[in-house]
Formats: sequence, C-alpha cells, structure tokens
Amino acid sequence: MNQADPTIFVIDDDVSIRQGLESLIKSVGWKVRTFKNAQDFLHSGEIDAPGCLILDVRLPGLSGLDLQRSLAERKNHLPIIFLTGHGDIPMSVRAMKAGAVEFLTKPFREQDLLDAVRLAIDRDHAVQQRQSAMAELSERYDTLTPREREVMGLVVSGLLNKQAAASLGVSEVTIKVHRGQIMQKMHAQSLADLVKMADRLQHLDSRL
Amino acid sequence: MPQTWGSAAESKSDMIRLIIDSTPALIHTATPAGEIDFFNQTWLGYLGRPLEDLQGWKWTASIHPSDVEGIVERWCASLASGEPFIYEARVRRADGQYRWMLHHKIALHDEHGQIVKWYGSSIDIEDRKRAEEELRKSEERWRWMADAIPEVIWFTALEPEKVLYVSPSFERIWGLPVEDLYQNPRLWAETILPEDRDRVRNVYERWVAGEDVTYSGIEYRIMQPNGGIRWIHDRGVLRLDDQGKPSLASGISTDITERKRAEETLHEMQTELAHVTRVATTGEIAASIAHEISQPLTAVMTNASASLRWLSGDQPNLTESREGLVRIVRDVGRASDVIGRIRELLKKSPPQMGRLSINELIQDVLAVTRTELVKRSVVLRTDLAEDLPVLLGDRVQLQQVILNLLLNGVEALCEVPNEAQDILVASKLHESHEVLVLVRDSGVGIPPDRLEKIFMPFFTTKTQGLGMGLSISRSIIEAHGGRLWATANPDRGITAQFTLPMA
Repeated sequence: MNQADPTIFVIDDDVSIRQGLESLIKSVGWKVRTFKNAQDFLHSGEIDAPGCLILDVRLPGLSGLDLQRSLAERKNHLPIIFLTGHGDIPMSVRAMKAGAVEFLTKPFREQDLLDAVRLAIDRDHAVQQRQSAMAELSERYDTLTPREREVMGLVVSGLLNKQAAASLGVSEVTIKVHRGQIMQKMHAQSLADLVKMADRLQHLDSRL
Repeated sequence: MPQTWGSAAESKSDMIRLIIDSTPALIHTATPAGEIDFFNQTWLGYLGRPLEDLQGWKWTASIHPSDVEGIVERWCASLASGEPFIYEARVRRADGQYRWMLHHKIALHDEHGQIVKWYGSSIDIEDRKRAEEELRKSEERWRWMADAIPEVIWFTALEPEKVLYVSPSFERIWGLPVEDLYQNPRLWAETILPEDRDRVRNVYERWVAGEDVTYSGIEYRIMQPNGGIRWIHDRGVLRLDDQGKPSLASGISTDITERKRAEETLHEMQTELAHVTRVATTGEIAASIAHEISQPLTAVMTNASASLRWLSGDQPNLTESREGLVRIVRDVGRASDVIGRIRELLKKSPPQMGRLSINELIQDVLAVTRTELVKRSVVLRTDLAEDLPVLLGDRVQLQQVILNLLLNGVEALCEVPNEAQDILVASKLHESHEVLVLVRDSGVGIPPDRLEKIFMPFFTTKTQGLGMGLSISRSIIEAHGGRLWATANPDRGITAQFTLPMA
C-alpha cells in the first residue's frame, strides 16, 4: 500500500522555507519531497505520484503559474497550493481559476497550510479513485469483441433482444449469448448497472 | 558798368530778353486761349527743338504719353477759371530721356480783369521724384512686412503719449480696431488682466521715464472684448532725444498663448510625473521590503511550528526540533540583515554637495506642485527672505524633502474639507548661522504627543501612506548637518521645519 501514500511536493527557491516546510510536513507524518525550482520537479519522474504540490509563485526560471499551466497540459491533476510573498490579487485569481486549491500569503499560519494540504490530498485521492475506477472500466470494455460492443450499444439504448437481433440480422439466441458474455466481462450485476457503465464510458470517450 | 550794359543791351527790352534766355530757369508764356507762344532758350535747348515745333499745342508731343491727358485737362481748367496752373508731368529731353518737371503758370490780367497773358516756369524735379519713389517703395516694403507678420509692431511717441503706428495684427490678437488704440493710447493697459496690469504698467512706466529698466520679455495676459484670454510677450526699444530723454518707444508684441498652453500641459505632466515617481518609488520599496522580510519570517514560523510539533507528543523528536531551532536562529539573523541593508540603502548614496540658493530650490518645488495645489484649491503663501546665504547641499535630496513636506501639508489639508485651506512656505535666517525653512499647513494636525513619532519609519497618520517620507527626510537633513522637526500650530495644523547650516 506504500504506493498509495500521498507525497507532498514542495517547490520553493528559499532553502530555509524548503527545510521548514519539509520538517513541518514530516512532523505531521506525511511523505515530503522538496525541489528548488520547477524544472527539477518536472524532470524528477515523480509528477504522476498521488499527493499535492506546495508551490511558490515567484520561482527562478519557470514560475509557479507556468508550472501550473505546464502540468495541466500534461493532464496532470496534482492539486496545487500556492505560496506568495505578498498578496497579488490578480495572480491569485488566475491561479484559483486554473484550479489551485489554496493561495497562501507568506508568512502563513501553519494550520492554514496543513488544512490546505489535507484538502488537496483528499481531492487528489478522490480524483485518483475516480480515475482508477474509470481505468478499470475501460480495461473491461477493451476486452469486448467488436460484435459484443455493438450489441452492448443496442441493449443499453433500450432495445429488446428481439429488436436487437432484427437490427443486426442475427437470431435472438445469438444476442442472448453475446449479452451473457458482456455482463460477465463488464462485471455488471444488472442491465441498469450496465447502462450506468456505458454512460460513464461515453463520458470518457467524449472527453478523449 | 553803364558801358558794359550799353554794349551788351541796346534797349531795356533786349536786356530783359537776355536775362530770360540765359537764366537756368525754364520759362514760357501762353496766350489767353492756352497756346504757348514763347519758350526761353534754356527751354528750347532742353527740348532740342525750335519754337515752331512746340508752339500752340505742339509742345504736348514732348510730354510723356501717360501724362499728356492730365496736363491738358488741368491746363484747360486753369484757362477756364483763371486759377494758377500747377502740375507735375514728365518732359522729353533732347536726348530722349523723360524727366519729371513741376510746371507752374500764372495769369496776367488787364485793368478789366481780363487775362492777357500766362507766364510760366518749370522746374526739373526728377531727382526729388526718384527719392520719393525710393522712399515709397521702401515704405511699401516695410509696411508690407509690418502688415504681414503675425506679431504686433508698435510705435508710440512719448510726451505727449501718442500711438504713431500699430500693425494690423493688433486687431487679430486684441480683437479691437486699431483706430481705437490710436484714439486712446491707454486702451492697451486697460486690456491687461488686473492680476498682471500693475506689474506690466510699473515696468513700462519706469522704462519710458528713462529709468534703468529694460522692457524686454515682459509676459502678460490680455482680455479680448469677447472674454477670450491671450498671453502676450512684449519687448521694446527706446529712442532718445538730444537731451538723452526717451522720445519714442517701439516694440513687438507676440501672441504666445499656444506656447503657454503647451507649457502648462508640460507642467501638469511634470507634476504628475513627480507624484507618480514618488508613489512608485515608495511602493516599490514597500513591496521589496515586504518580500525580503516575509521570506525569513515564513521560514521562522514554519520551523517554529514544526519544532513545536516534534516536541509535543509521547516521544518528542529532539533531533528534528533542534534542527528547526538552529534554522530559526539562522533566519532571524537573515531578517535582521535585511533590515540593516534597508537602513544602509536609505542613508547610503552620499549627497552630491553643491552650492545652492534655498529660495531657488523652494521655487523649483513650488513650480512642479503649483498645478497640484490649484487643482486641490489650496492657497499657497510664500514668505522667502531675501539675501539668504548660499548653502552647501544636495539639490535633489533637499528638493525631495521640501516636496515631501509640501505634499504632506496638502494631504493634511485635504482631510479638513470646507475650511480655508492654506499653506505657508517660508525661509529665513535662523540664529545667524543657519537657514530655516518651514512649511505650515492649516490641516488636521497631529496630537502633540505623537509629533515626534511621525519621523519614525513606517509611522503614518494617513489612510494611504507608507510612513517613510518624514523618516527619510529627517535622515537627509541630518546628513546635511541640519535638523528637521514639527510643531503643532496654536490654531490648526502643524508646522514642519528644518534648518541647514550656512556654507
């Protein structure tokens, strides 16, 4: 289960703040990794790990907002908590609009930071779960034969076996056989279950 | 002598004839009908023709074609009226050259009043005519220039005052007919705005009275009949009479309204710029300070929180908490370094000392703030002592101090609406070896117990302010060997003042 443990990534060019945050986060019992700039983080190979990101807005090279955009382009949904030296309202609005969890002004209260981290981890966890459920679902769907997918489409759209058979020019029995295979492969308990799955898969398709 | 006469002139009539023919004058006679019947020898010699070719009306062939008609008309008129004939007409000389002549004839009457003869003489006036023509052309050129240039050229005789000439541009600039000025020389002074009138008239009157003042580069405003205001730049020269007294004043008045407007716009921009620069600089410093201080502060806070957490619980982690405390000590040192650097920065930049006049400096600052003061309806009064000693100081830094005190005063005023808003800027000698500058406002004021605090960094009574202005001002003045302090006025507002030692 080590894999599922969230990691808190800290990116700040100020070594004291990095060390302080590392110690604080460790004291709460979370795993923590620190980076002095955005590039190091992007090249760390860890960006897909579950957890969240504590990010200074002002960074040398790639700025915090640049990194946020860059992660979004990679379809990385790691929740971000921004830290800023002084309250820059337009910047924080941009960051929040782009999906940041929190925007904290230095010096911040430890509790505000820890609350934000907790919220970010929960949010990431939910996203991860949803994503893995979706991944499982589409894996199952991938095991269906083209004919089975065709039948599944007709069945979930509300056609009776007889109608589906007529539509595909096969016997009703053939449809029944396909249907049994589909229910089994998709781990569907009922027709309603299958319809729900199809609905979610459709969402995934339209998003991709 | 009688013998000489006797040999030269056999009769009295011959003698007269001799005189007439040998005189350099051009003499001729005519019948009552107007026919010329005699030209003396000088005339015939001039014309190069015998009498037969000229008598009667044939002489007209020797008159310049352009003048023939005129001379004949006039001659006929005199013949009809018997009035003397006077006319200028060109006559062809023997060599073919036409020369201007003034022809004059008067009638001789008999006892019945009947004209019996016309006697005439002509004078060569070619040279005078040419001079006249030259003068006319020259006059025309000057007149053309005077009429054409946009400036107003004027000539005024003095004692009695009389406008001799004003070029037509006067009508365009002043909006008044030139004739009005010819009739009333005082009209000029009457058009000057009351605010400027005394100043201009004073200089003008002293100038034309021969006092040692120049009338040059005088600027004033006039009001046109339609209420329009124009800015005028005026300058003049005097002509002196034999006794060395001014007899004539002449000069040029230029409409500089557009230039003045441009200057005002520039002025406004400068004021705005000065203000923006001040705001931007303090804003920048504030942002920079905020960032520089908040970094170590954040680290201190984070490490302290972490250390506390490591210490609490059943099994305190002393190693982690000690490391945290070490980092805290390090960051506190870092923060105090930052503060030290800021302090250095504020007092650093060694003043560029130079000799300067404090009043000039004050005027410079007033010049850039005037628009701002007008905009905020602040009445500015100045009381600058003359003959103040020269000081040694950094012009820009001292200007900043004065600007700062002045803007503080203005801001204090703006917080007391509906009151007489005035600011006094004064300079004077103080204790014989110092110059004192004070800025007194009638604004909101500050309680006496807080007066000293306003010079501390980051202390401010203003809703929008960083609280650095007076602190920086004081360090500037102290770097100059002076003092800066403030006192509460007995009635309202405060007086901020500083002293500077003499050079």
